[in-house]
Amino acid sequence: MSTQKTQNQIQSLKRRYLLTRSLEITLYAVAAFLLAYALTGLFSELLELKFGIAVATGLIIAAERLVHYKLPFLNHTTFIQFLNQHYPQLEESADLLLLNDSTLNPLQKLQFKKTLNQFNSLYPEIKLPNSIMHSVSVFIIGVIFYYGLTAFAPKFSVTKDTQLVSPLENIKGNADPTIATINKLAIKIIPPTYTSLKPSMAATPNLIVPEGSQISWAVTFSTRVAKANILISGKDSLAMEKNDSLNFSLSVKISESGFYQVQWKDQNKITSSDYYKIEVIKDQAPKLSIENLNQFTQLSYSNKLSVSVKSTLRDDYGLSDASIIATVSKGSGESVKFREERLHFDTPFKIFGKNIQGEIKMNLNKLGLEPGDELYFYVEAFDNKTPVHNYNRTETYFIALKDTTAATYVEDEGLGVDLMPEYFRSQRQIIIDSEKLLKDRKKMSQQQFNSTSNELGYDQKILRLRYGQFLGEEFEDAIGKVDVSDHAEESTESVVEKFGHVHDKENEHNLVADKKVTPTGHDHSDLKNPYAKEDPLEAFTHNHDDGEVSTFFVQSIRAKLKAALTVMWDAELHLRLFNPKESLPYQYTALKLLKEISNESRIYVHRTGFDPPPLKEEKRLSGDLSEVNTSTAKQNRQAADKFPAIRQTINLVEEMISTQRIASTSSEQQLFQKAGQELAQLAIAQPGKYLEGLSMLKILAEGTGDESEIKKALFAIRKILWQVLPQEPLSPEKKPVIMHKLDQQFLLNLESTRND
Amino acid sequence: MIRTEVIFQPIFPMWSILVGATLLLMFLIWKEANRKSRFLTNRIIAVLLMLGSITAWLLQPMTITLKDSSSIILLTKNYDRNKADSLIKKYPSYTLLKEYDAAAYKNSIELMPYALVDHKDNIAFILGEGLPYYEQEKIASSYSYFPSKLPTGITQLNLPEPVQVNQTASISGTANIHGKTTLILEQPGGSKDSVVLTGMGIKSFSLSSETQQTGLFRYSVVLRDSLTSKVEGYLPVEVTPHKILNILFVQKYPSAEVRYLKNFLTEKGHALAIRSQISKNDFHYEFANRESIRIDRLTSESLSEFDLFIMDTESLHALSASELKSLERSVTDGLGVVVLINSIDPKRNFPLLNASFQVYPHDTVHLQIKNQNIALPALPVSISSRLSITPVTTSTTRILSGYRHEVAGKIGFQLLHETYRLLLEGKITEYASLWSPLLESIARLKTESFKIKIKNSFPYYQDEPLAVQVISAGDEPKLKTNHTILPLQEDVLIDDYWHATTWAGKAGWDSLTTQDSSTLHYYVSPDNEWTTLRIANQQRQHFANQSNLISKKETSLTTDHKPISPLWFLMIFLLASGFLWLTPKI
Repeated sequence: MSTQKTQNQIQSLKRRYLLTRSLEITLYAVAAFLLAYALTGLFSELLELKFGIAVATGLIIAAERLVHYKLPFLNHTTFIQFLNQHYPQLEESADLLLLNDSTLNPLQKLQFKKTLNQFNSLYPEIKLPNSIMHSVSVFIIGVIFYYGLTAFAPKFSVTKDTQLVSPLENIKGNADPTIATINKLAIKIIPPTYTSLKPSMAATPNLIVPEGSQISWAVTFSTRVAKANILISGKDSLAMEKNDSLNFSLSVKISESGFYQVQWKDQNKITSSDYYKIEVIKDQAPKLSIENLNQFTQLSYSNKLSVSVKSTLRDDYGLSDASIIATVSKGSGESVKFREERLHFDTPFKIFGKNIQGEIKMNLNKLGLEPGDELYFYVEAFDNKTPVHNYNRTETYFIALKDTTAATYVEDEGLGVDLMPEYFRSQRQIIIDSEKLLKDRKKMSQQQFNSTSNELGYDQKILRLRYGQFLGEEFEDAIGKVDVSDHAEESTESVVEKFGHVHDKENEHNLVADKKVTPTGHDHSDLKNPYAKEDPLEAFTHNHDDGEVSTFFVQSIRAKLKAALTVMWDAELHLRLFNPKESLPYQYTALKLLKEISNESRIYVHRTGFDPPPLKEEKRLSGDLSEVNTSTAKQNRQAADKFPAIRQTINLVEEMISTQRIASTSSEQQLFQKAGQELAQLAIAQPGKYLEGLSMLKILAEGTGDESEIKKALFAIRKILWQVLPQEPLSPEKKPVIMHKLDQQFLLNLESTRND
Repeated sequence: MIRTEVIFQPIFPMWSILVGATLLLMFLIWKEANRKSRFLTNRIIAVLLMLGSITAWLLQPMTITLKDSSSIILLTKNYDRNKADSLIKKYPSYTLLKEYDAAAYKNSIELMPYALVDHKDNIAFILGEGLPYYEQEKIASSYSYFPSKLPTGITQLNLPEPVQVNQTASISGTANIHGKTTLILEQPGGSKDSVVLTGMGIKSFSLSSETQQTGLFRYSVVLRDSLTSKVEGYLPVEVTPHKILNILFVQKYPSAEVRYLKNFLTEKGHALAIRSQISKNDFHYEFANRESIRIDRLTSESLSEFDLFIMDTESLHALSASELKSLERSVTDGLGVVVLINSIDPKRNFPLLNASFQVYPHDTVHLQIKNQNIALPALPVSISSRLSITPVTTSTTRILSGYRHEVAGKIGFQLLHETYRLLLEGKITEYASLWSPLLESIARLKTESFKIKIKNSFPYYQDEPLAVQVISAGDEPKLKTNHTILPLQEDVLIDDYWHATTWAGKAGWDSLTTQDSSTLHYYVSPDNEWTTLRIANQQRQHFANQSNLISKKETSLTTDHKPISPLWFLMIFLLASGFLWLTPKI
């Protein structure tokens, strides 16, 4: 019984040991797992990879520990050995405890009893070796590291990098193994020779090629194919040349953007690939500029007469020729002459390459430029495109050689006012000056005031004389020659008059007319005498025109002008008397009259034009209507919808998206195909915008592709097709309404109240 | 005063359970008594407990809390705890009920969703987001409502009515914002319109998008602020095919204005009949997109074919008395008349329009159409009428085109001349926006037999009841949804006004149809869309239904059913059986 118990105890000890060690190993393994998982997470997002590496690490650590603790080899013997080693009290006899009583010899029995007692007393104290604390700390460290590292792990985006996918994988065509698919598609691009670009193999079926490139497609099919075509937008389908039963090839020169599709016939079934774009890079015209000159340059003859022109010329593939076109213009007006010359750059001598700094020194003398002449020039360049070069030119630059001998007449409007103020002042100006004089009276001396007033009176006189001319007052002195005429008058005056009492001649007109008949001079009074007889000698005498009649004006204006001159006399009188205040009312009146005269004397051009003959009343509205009959015209003209299939497809796609349907019926697939045809028209013009849509429609029309692909296609196609739809102008529509009995009653009552 | 009672809801008949349990108990006690082991009393107690727990589980006991109360305070989701505290302090005798999704509150009893009807007469206060409208309708008492704070988002939304293709679908509403926010209206083809709202609180907005395609579409409204960009929800837009008009033109002499208008309308597919006088007795008739018809004399019969009658001033003056009478009669029946006013003779009475014209100093108008400044000649008069004129095109100072109602029809006028210049300049959109609104608003309306409406405010969610209204023009409607006929009930007070209730199905488009195929398409939103709008709707309805008078005084008994968790029984069973298993080993 006791033996049994001891064996049980040993057994339980062993179990405890195993348990402890297993726990340790588990903790180590988990710590290793976490650490490995977190570390691989830094480099990869693949769950399988991370998990695999972590599990492997965990297992390795566990195995290592297992071997280290020799757990697989742990049996009773090893355990007993351990007890013997660690507990000398058992006197190396612990193995006896496991033996059956009956098999023991007496000595062994003796020893057994002893050992048993020892063991029983030792049992509660037996401490099995363990490193549980160590393993727990390793585990905790592992957990901490795990959280630390995963926090820093990069967040990998969910979308796959499409660049990694080989383009050729897209050209599978059909998943059916019996139907031929494209095994290999090689596209060689041979750019035109002038571009000096090397032929290359396209990396993707979407091509970006220089204009005029030769594109060669070589297709290898998986099985025998009867016929293969390449469909290029805007062209017929081009049959591919059959090299052998599997290999086809075609070479085409491409100069317009568009898209293409490979189509092949196999077992009477036509399969076509996805759409791929062909984007043509147009050969650009050369880009030219002149840096060192302004567009207009003027040189004087003394300057150094040579101009250096520096020009930068650029082209995408290379330049073939460049020159300066210079035109010399000589002379002016109608006698201008032009001479055109083509000059070549001094450096470089030969135009070649993509980027050129051209320079030329133009000797203006050599070009025959003389003072007054002008030189126009521009730089032009051709690139190396064949067969027709691209051409470009700069703006025209001007170089003018100053002609210093030519006199220039400058009319400066502002100067006259200051230089000749006394010559002519308007009535308004005189008024302004008079008012100013009155205002400044206190500030100036009496003499100054008087002198200014007198000057104004003189101005008034000049004005009066000027207007007097219009009235034909010939006898008045010429304007500006007043002084001279005064002297002349003086010279002709009699000595008596000169030294006697002489009236102020200026004011003579204002004086009451002398009743006496003037003994000398012409007698004009006869004309005013109605009773005077006609003088038969009149025709033979020197007789002036009557100043009353010979004016430029009609009677009423003449009267007004006369009145104006009269008040001008008064105005002048008061100014001369140094009394501008009293002169002002006359001046105002004069101004008013002058204004009226100027308004009345405006000349209007008589309107000329077609004067229709007067209508005969009886002929009006009496045309011959016998051939005008009642007529009826009928037309049915409704603007046709441009994109019927696209419109239907939009509704179908919307319905499929909202009901999350993926499968499409054959009629729906046909609709997708029709929409694709409509979209293809647009894609020719803008392949970049609509080509994706074409590919998506192809997926939908063929019903191939998995769920995610179709879903993606539906969303993409919805967006693209919406963009296709044009915005039509608003049209009036018939609106629906429901006429409830109450509405009818309401309207009727409304009407009756209105009538009331 | 609170009383708690326990009731049972046995799985099997109660007598069978009790008999079975008693027999089993006796057998087990006998077995235990015969077992030679210690703790006999304890074991028998354990057996009793064990069987008792099984019996209790089978009987499904339930506690009923009976509470005498005068009124109820109902706590709904996101209620304001401070307000609840204050209310309870003021009305300590009130019963506190809480909705299942509201936060716990001391002494509150959870209200089972079906039990609201039991308390319909006693609810005095409602706190929080409130109840959906169909729950609100159950409440019979007058109550006060204390709303919770509104989250950001759209709080009110006026959905676009079904629009005809190429017309503009507009939405308007209000949004609750916390700072600068951009609202974007997105079509399936991409963003169409956006508006930037600034400030805080409730701001109103309106967005519009021109439609290009008929069908049922989901536009979306995106709310973008400085931190987030969230899709508020999908906006159902129904675009119906365009319905053509039957138009009659009568003109005294052929004019370019009518010619270009005719071409424009013909291309849009409208059916046109044109009569132009070319001499005293000769006319030129044109028919576009329709069969020919006699229009040499205007009679009520011939006019009844048309939706719109366009004529010039001279033709109007030239109408005979009988023709004018027929025209007036047709207008009262719904015909729309547009007079292209070329000249005004102040001495002559202007028939039909019943308006007077005053001389206006300018004969040119500058209009702003579609962000384009356009100058057009217009008759130098301004119109004034005793009857109210609805303007369609206006300059800053006068009405250029408009109409007035005449019973069921409308009589309109156009003062603008030479609008065809716009077409010649290639401004077809501007030309269309000058004419289409005028013709559309005046044309005869399409009378329908039935009109279906849903009374609930948008959004509708799955399994929510929808109150459907049908207005009929006389016939008895038959309403169908997904091949199921909905029973309709006529309004007690108003004839031809019918009600029905249906329940919204799965998220997506759905429809209701009457026998004449009048259809109402409606959109059922997924639960996670338009959350703010839903709360705002509930709150608005609560405010409309609440009354601030608390007049409830009668006491009533509130009951609250709460099942006792079977977990307890399981634990007792485990303990008892564990003890029985253990005793022999001790």
